[in-house]
Amino acid sequence: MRTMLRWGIAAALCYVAAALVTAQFLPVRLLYDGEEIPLPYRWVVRPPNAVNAASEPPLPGVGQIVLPPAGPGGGSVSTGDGQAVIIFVRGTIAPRTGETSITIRLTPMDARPLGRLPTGVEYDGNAYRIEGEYTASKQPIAFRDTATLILRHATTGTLVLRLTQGRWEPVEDSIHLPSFQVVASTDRLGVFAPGLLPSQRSQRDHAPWLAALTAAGAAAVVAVRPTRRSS
Amino acid sequence: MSARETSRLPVRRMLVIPLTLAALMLRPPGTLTALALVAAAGAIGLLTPLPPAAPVSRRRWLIAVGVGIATFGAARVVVQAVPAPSHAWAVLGASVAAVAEEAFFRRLLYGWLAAAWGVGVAVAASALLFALVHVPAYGLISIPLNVAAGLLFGWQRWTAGTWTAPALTHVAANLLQMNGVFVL
Repeated sequence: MRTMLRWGIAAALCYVAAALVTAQFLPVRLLYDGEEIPLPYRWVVRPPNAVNAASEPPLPGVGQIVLPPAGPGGGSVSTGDGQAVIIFVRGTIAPRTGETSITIRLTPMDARPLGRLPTGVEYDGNAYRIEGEYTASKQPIAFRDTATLILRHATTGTLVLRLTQGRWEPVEDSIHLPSFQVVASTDRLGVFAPGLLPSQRSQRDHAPWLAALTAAGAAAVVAVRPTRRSS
Repeated sequence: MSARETSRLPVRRMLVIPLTLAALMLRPPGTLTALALVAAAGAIGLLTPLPPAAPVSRRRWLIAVGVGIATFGAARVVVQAVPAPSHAWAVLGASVAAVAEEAFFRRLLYGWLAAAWGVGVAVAASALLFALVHVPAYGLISIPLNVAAGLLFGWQRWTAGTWTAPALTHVAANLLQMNGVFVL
């Protein structure tokens, strides 16, 4: 039993260590299977060809993060519907004399009138204006490191777009998560939106059929009873 | 058939394992189709007969589940992770996927591998293959994390003597990733 426990503790430490190391490189999601029936997307202005669109409007979000030494200095602020989340790890926000917290606001907006898209890119959700200020002085927050932005997308989004001088630009380290979310790191606040490359969408369309065929093959092999040979 | 009687995996198993792994790798992530495919893999894992297992010790089962859930809880506290959406369908989907994956990896695959090559190979190989099927959805960066999770689940399977211990832990691990915003 002791040997078993030792192996168990070793495996547990191995997992926590892997999580800590991985988190140094990328915004990480720990073990999670995001296979789910997607909730309808809440649009500010529903596109005419929208599928799985909710009738409710998107919700804004506001929250405070307490700075050290009064608090942990890290945390997340989400919209009321969970469609946009921003995460600050400890040390992301520069400390400021007399300030004990920051206030973050997330406001959903219609992305289309805000800027021009790069060629071949489409919107896949609302834009979100993300503003932050030191709570006491109302001064804009200063970053010392990057925050992690997570946006729910409507269909098959693959990247995060940032509005820069009237143009939408893809954020370089955007990653797509299976739970209908795109994630990116950012060293400043501003206006962001989920986007997609239609070419990537068409590549993904073939996979379900192939997957279903292989699963059916596996099930058929299991279902066939082996014949016994008489010796 | 005794546990060590089989010196190699028969052809039937050699087909079921790669076909199911291929289906899991090809699933379009975060979709209802993916959930159906994972459920199918779970059904294959659950319904395929295995040799009778040794009786389960309740104490060992509780220890295995306790260590597993404590580990995923601790990781959630120390790592500022990307939160997953939390709504009723997400809870259902994450729970079904967790049980189905464990039925395939820790019941069927572990059972076959342990019978053929012993517990060490079963724990290691099921962990590696578990990590492999998650690469298309989560990227190469997910390999260390998922191998480590697979090793922990494999240890639970070995300690508890049943796949239900890692299955319950996997459900808890998934639910621990959800954010505080619960949308109905």
